[in-house]
Amino acid sequence: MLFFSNIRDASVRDNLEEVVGVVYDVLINNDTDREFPPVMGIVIKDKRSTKQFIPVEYIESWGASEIELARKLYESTAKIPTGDNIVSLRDNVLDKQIVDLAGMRVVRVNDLQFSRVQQSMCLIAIDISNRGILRRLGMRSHFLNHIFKPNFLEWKNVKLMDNKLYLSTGAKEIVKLHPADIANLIEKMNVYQGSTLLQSLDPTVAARVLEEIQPDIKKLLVKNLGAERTATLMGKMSVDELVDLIQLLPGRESREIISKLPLDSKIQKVKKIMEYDEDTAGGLMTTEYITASSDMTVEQAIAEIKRVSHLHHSIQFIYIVDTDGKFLGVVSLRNLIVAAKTQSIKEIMRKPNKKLPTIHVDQTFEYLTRLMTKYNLLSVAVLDKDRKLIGVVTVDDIMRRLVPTA
Amino acid sequence: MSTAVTPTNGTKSRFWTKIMFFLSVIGPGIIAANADNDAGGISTYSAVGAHFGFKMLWVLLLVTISLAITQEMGVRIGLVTRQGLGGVIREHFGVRWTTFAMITMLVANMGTITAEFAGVASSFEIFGVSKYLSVPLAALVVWFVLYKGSFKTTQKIFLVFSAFYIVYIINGFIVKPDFSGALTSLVTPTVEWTTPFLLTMIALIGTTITPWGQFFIQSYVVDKGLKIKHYKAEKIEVIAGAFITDIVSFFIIISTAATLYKFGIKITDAKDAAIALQPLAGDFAQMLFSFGLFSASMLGAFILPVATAYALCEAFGWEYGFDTNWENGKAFYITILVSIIVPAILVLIPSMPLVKVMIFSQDINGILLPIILIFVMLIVNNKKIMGEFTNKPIGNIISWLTIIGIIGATVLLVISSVFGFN
Repeated sequence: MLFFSNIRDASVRDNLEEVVGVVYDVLINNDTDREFPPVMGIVIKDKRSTKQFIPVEYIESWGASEIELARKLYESTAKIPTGDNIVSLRDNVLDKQIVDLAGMRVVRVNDLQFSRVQQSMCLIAIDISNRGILRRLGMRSHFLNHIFKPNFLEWKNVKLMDNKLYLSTGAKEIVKLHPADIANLIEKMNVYQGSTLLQSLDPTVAARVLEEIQPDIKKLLVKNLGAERTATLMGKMSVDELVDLIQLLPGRESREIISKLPLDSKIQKVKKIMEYDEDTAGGLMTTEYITASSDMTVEQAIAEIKRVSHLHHSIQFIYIVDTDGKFLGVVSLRNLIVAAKTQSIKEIMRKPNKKLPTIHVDQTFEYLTRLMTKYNLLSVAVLDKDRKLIGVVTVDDIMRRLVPTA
Repeated sequence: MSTAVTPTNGTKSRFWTKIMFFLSVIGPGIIAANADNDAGGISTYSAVGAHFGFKMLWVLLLVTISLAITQEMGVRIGLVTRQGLGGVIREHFGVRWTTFAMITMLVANMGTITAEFAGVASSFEIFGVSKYLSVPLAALVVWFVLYKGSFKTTQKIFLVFSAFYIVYIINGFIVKPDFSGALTSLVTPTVEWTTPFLLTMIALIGTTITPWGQFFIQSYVVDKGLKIKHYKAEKIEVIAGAFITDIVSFFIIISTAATLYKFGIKITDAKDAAIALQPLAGDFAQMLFSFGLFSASMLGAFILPVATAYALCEAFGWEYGFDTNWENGKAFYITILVSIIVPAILVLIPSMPLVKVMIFSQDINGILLPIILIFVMLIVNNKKIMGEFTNKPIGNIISWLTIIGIIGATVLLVISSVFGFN
């Protein structure tokens, strides 16, 4: 196994066995989609302490404390390559912090491991163990190796972010995770790392992630992001989450953010919900749901769902209202699927009755929870005093309220 | 990095906005500076006044300026790098230098924690409570509170207790010291070329500017999530903190000078130091002093093990923080445990001279301080790290003079103790 700690400061000999310098740095090409980034070459300090770059092709052999060149030094050097994909292991990787995705921990790069992959020297793994530290200190003993277990991270699992001081899990890998998992990850980072990561995500994903973050950390993140960026993210959030977040913030800040939100119907809805007390059905409800008229056929209703589907996180029911917005009933997706295409909605919808209760906008959270538990409801329609449909409370809203830190 | 941004609001609320902005960043400077007056601090300042009168006040003035400047550098590095000092050293000096810096810090901090437990022991011995009871109990309380309880709340409680120092200021007026003499001494360098003088002087420097204080202030601004836009406010706080603490130190020194030095009483245990408070508290002096020493010691005993563990774990990439569990945060918790247990055991060694331990530990801090300060200087002047926020010449001059001054005093100390020219 070849480590960076072995190569660094190793003497470099030319083809005549003469020492021509010592290794200073190793450059890798991080651009390829290959699993292991290839070494581009080494930077050495020659006898006059000038830095010289030697491309990997001119290196004859890699030893643990010695590197041999195929030719004379002056025949082996080239200009030090530069570019976004060229990473200096000494400056950009070694000793930097990494956020370890698997364990969600913050660790440091103690050493780096190289190996030959299909003829070319590549960077394989990052040593994050205490063995790495000991190796750097030049301590090697069987006794210590017994105490400290090896611990490696594969390079491919780690991404270099914005080529700055520290390594962190990159956005590309991370989006494969569930937003709630990314949220957990961010909760473990400090505010700066967290907001950097959040900003590197696609705004839609970032909005979902922000929704899942613990309230107190969310507050800090929003502060750190500033009103403008937060507003961009919030534009992508669902109305009820948006309301939760705004309620979390101190008055001045929330006004500032609201003023920066993109002007659309959403903001009207937010303002509307914010009029209701947090502890009532009105405060919990979302105003994002699909409505249809009772005269529609099943086919038309399905077409309508297809048309607006991308605007909604999840669709379980469609709500049937008359022309005045009065609530008539509800149709589940299941009902729609099993019904004949030509049937009218009126025939298949369930009308409000004792088994399909609705709830008044001012009802308390306790009442709502009990009602939904009693009748095993996934969601319940919220009506105002004129029995107009003004919102829907889903079981998610209840859960979020009960376990805010999950 | 963008330059500092001040919030612009209506003219009427402008003032309050500024005040609120300032209050939101307050904490690091005041806490770090206040915790300087810990067990080692109180005993060193007491000894300075009791043994040398006003002669060392000029050192205090210089050291206050240095404290303000070094703490400000710590704040600045923290704001720019958003990492603790341990982390920055690791990223820019590699494993070997980090190990060296960490060992230095560990030795200095262990010394200081030993002083804190010695402080606990002394404060109870005034009432005749044996150190074999008070110290293990205090160690248990510290561990238990840190492991199970809330570090932040405890820290605040003891910070409130340390308002006790105000009694020194009041006392300082009651003893009717020679203020004009004291002020003259502030600007009149006087040196005795003796080992005790040099030893006390290094302790005075080492208890005011400490290695752990450098680590602590930087971690604190990072943890608090402060940004470079807070820099101006934070700078004011740090400078204010330095001067406020040293005003207390000033009054401790003139109190002991007016009471002990005048009558040639040397401080050999805490009871002697308590005499300084008699003009104010009369018969209650011992009780008052004991209470103050105890809370100051406990504040230090809480902060230091944690500061040590934070720095160490950050530098070596071990998991840290009280939200980690034992399995993941093993190194973190073990560091805290060791830095409680080892100092406690040291204090329990029979016939350990407690006051000497408190002062000598500050000498260790003083002697090791230049090492940490040199790291700080190299970092704060590195454009790659600090960008446009590198030091101004005046900061560099004062810091290097501080470093050279301490090294010089240490060299003199060694020479004086070898050749014995007292």
